[in-house]
Amino acid sequence: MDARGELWIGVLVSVALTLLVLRPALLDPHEDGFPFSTFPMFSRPKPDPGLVLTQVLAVFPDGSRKPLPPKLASGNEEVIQTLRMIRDQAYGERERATAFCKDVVTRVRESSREPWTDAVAIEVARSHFDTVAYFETGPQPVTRKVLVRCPTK
Amino acid sequence: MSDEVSASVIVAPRGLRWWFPAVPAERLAMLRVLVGAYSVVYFGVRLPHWLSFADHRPVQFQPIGVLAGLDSPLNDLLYQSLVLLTFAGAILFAVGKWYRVVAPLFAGLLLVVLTYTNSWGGILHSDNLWLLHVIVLAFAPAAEALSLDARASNHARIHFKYGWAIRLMCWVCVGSYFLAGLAKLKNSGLGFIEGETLRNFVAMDNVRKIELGSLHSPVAALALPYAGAFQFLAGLSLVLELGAPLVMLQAKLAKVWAFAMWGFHIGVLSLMAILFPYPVTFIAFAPFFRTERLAPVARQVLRWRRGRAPMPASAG
Repeated sequence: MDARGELWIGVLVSVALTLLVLRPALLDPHEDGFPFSTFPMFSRPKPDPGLVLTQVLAVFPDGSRKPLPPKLASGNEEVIQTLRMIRDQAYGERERATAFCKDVVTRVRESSREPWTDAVAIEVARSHFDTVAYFETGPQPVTRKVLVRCPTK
Repeated sequence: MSDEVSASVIVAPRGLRWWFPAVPAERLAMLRVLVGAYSVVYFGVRLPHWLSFADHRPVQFQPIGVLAGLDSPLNDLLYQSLVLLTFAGAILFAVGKWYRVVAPLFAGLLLVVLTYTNSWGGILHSDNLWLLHVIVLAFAPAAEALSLDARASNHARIHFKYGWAIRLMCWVCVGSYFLAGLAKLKNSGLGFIEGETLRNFVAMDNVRKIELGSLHSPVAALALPYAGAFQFLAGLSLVLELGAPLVMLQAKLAKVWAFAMWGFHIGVLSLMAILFPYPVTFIAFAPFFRTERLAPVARQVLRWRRGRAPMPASAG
């Protein structure tokens, strides 16, 4: 390719990519996309340390509970996608939440991983945490409501 | 069209020389080698995870970007074939084989695969810059040195055609960080620099990870009592992000900024256990440096690949 051609390719690619990368600056930060993103992570105001989290818990014979790792909870190891997946499945139709809970039980049984195989039940629960107090006084939720429970045995 | 200063230095017409600086072929080629090596290693590590998206339930599929028109997930076999083809493309991209054809194909496939993996209910932001750098390199003559293609070629060693892609890689990098700062300003205003939002996010993100059974940062619990530290970090991150485009004007400042941003990502990793692998490896910031200094290492690797055959002069 001659020098003029090289110059034109450089100009065209530079202009096109610059416009595409900067276009999200004109959008609402919540209108995220890929690969041209508004990069909205951790940008919203968060004046209080409260957190309401829908989570998947394994219940053990002594009554203790442990959160299941993402791969067992959702089949996906990405924690952010797992978070949204659990939320999508837990609310709405009751049958959908129950089917999701049974899916989790199947994954736990198939995994044969300790200590999860000892679990007597799986719970999908909505928990409210004070996230600063969590590290200062202890990891107990302020409140917790079980949305659906499935026995594993 | 161009002013030939010497037999081996070709500069762009006046007025375009800032965006089209005459640089050695090895500088751009070394960026291809670095981004290509990152692509191969990262792809290799992520391969089982990316292949596993074929097993996800169709109800969880929320297509975005170039795949927004899809009504349902791709056929499992088709998707997994695309992933493996992309991996093969990454290898050829890294070694610079059939580059003019392979590089755009690899960039296109990577766009599709990464868009697909981000189409399951949450857009991640750790691969955007890597993909954009691959796209820039795919359109540039980045295999005219330090590549298997370069064996039979005879290109000028210093040419403006190698410069624009490096400028664009830098620009895409600072533009992305600027957007992240802009989002903070739009969403939280200048109140972000008070640090309370950042502190609450660090606490929230770690609790969320613990309570979802994932990895979390043990450092966060130690740092949270110090509210003043978060005020400093919030102010610093906003200055680094919003001020990013200014570093394009001064090469030394750009290098300082690159190290500062790298430190920022190490801080995010330490406090929130969030790994942005591309910046953490520093390859995201390599376009701000004279990467041709690493060329002897790449030559050694290519020489080893070819059974210690001598490198031709045109390959640097």
